[in-house]
Amino acid sequence: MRSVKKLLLIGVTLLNLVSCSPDVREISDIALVMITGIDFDEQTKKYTFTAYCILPSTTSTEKAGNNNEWVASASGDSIMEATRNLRSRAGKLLIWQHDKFFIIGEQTARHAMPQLVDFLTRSRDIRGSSYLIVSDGKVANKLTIKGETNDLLANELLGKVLNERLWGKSLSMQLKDVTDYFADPYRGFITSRLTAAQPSDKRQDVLYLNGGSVFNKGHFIGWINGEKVITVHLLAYGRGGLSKLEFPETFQFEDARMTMLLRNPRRTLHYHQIQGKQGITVDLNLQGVIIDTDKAISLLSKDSIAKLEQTISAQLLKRINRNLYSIQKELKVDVFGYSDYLSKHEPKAWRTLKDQWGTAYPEMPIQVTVHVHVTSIGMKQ
Amino acid sequence: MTERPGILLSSLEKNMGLLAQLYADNDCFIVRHLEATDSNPPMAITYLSVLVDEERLHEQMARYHSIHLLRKTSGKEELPALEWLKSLGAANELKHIDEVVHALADANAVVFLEGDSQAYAISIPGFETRSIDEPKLEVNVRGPREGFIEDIHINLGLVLRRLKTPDLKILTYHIGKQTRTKVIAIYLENEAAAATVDEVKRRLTSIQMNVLIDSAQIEEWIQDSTFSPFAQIMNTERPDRIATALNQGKVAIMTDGTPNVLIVPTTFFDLLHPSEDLYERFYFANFLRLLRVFTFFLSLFAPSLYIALTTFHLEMIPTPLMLAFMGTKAGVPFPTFIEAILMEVVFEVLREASLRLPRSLGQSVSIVGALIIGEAAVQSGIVSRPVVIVVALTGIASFTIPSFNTAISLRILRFPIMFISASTGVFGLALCMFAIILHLCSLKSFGTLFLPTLTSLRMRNALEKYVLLPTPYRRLSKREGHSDEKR
Repeated sequence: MRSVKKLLLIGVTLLNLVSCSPDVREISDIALVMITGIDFDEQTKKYTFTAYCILPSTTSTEKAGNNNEWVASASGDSIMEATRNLRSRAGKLLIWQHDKFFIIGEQTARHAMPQLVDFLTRSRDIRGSSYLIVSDGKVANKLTIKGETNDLLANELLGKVLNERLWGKSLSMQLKDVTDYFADPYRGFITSRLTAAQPSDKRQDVLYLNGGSVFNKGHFIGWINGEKVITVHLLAYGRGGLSKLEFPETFQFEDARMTMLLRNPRRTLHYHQIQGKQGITVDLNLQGVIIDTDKAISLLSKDSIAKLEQTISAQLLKRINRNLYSIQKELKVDVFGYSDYLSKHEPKAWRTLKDQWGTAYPEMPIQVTVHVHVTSIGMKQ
Repeated sequence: MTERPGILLSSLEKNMGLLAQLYADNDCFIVRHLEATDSNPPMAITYLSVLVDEERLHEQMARYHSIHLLRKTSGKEELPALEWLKSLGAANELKHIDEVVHALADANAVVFLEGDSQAYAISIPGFETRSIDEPKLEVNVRGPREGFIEDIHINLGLVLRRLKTPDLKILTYHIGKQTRTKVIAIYLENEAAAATVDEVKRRLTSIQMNVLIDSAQIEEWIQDSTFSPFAQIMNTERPDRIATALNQGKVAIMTDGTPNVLIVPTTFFDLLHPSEDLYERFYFANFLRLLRVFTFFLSLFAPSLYIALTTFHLEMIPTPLMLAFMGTKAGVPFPTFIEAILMEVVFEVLREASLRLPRSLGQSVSIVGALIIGEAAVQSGIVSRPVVIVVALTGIASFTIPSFNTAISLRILRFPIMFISASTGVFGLALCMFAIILHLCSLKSFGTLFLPTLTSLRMRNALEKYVLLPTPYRRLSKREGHSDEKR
């Protein structure tokens, strides 16, 4: 009898727990935030928080998958206040766990990065795998732009990020990497740039990911174009660039103009004497596939292929060097993560370099060697 | 010397008087008197009319008369009645009235002779039994189709036909004060561990009950843990399965009047593997074994996992799936837990209804119930589609468990687990899983671990319990006794 009483007691307790558990969040009561936009106004010192949410359709009897998009903004003196003010407009419980994008306005990037990164990393609800993207101007008006296809804007944006490895002119950084690099006093990083523009074939604006935004020591420095982003992909150490990258390049070979698809960049770094100064050599190996030429060129012999490889390697090196110069000497930001490389592989040298990295980096010789290996000339000769 | 009450006397009249007293008001009790002849004393043949083949009895009585006639010409000394009884074969000598009563109840005709203080029992069974049929519950694609029936002798024959060895030992018990049901324990002397056999003997003799109808009653008495939700003794209707089990050193317990035969000791995996495993190619058999372990977990935890994920751990659901769930859950008035409980109960009701109705009707009820109620509930927005899918999946998964009584325990356990995961999420679910595994590990069946652990000294010993090895690596017999898994 005693055990029966105990069982009953457990049963009643469980029943109470079922109905009273404070952690229960029913799917029908939530709104999934899928893109968050954060703007900051330097004059008024106010944050504007924009959430792009997915709400469940009103009844389940409609065809499945009919979810509604909802974009709303709210302002406040701090990011948290802005998010809470947003709740006054929300009819559902906002859930951040499925948020894939944090898009920040240019002003936020320039003036409020420390608070923002701190806010994003403290909360357990925000995923480290979400992307941080900087927007041209304000974000709030960009999130209302409809997707070009009928798909959700968030899905479209995710598709654009996944497509980055197929053209290389943007590089979206995940939040976990951003926080990692953000705290690093030596290296900078880039993340992709969101712009809205009207394509020639459309009447309304469309969102693009193109180019990159450069950060150094926790501050936004400026924009770089797509060409330079490719160079960052190619030369960066570690996770800085995509290794499964492929991108097209046009070259001049003999008197023909040809397009090649370059893929699978492999880089090896060395730290040694270059022209009497300690510097870094980057050996870059790529595979190339001929896509088209405007004149017939003969590639029947091994020698001709070797010549082709030499020519295009030299041309690619020239472009890389131009971009490298601009990033290293003009921007003076170590977006390639060479400080990481030195601290890991050359700890002795790094100990002396560390304190003066800000001045040493722009002066350091960085020598790039490029070898393009033509793996396929296509099915036609 | 004082007479023990009930002992048979040499007076036919007194013996008959005693029997008439015992069987007063029993119209089936028949006494046929044969008068004395010059060489024979008066005789009486008693039997219960419905149990005995009366036609055969008449034939034998006619033979008795002819022996009697022949006897006149020959000059033998022995009583012709006794000679006749001996020619009938198994004529048991009975000395006590209780023995007579048991013999009568066991479809014997009992013969009394004047001046003889013994009675003679001749077995002439004449009741109808079902013919041997394919088992309805344990259906195999390949392998023997014979199944046990209600008659223990035929059942025993089915097993003996498969095991032609003198090592096969057969112990008979009579259990039940009223029914005196015959219970037979069979084992192979060289395979079964002596300790197991002794334990079976001890437990069978300790059973005390009035009426024994089905082996389930024996199971209740001899199982190790009465309050465990899991069935700890395997039962089967297949003689081939008994033959295999005996060869693994197990003991089979047959009960008269039921086709279900118990096999002890049982391990958890015995309940999860049907006999068909041995008749399939080992790749496929092992694939099925793996599948069944998966469906075991599915049928136990699927609704709970769904509840836990959708009410506590929304971050664990991939975003596209989450969007799909949101699309279906909107507008549903109940919390997910109530939805799931509702559908589970409906499912149980349907299952019970289709089981109780005649077979032809039962199928249509389950189809109507599943399709129409499910679809209508979704259409009218009372439950969401994923819940219907999860509940249906759970139900179907539980059908893959070959042992019906294990499937029942999973059905029962599912509900408390749903409660716990609805109140504490995956944390509670993990606790439940942990508790169940601990409980299974703590169970023993006749001295053997119910859940064989991988801690066995020899790797192959342990492995054999989980997977079916290819023939060259399979041992001739597997002894699952006390040898290496003693506690």
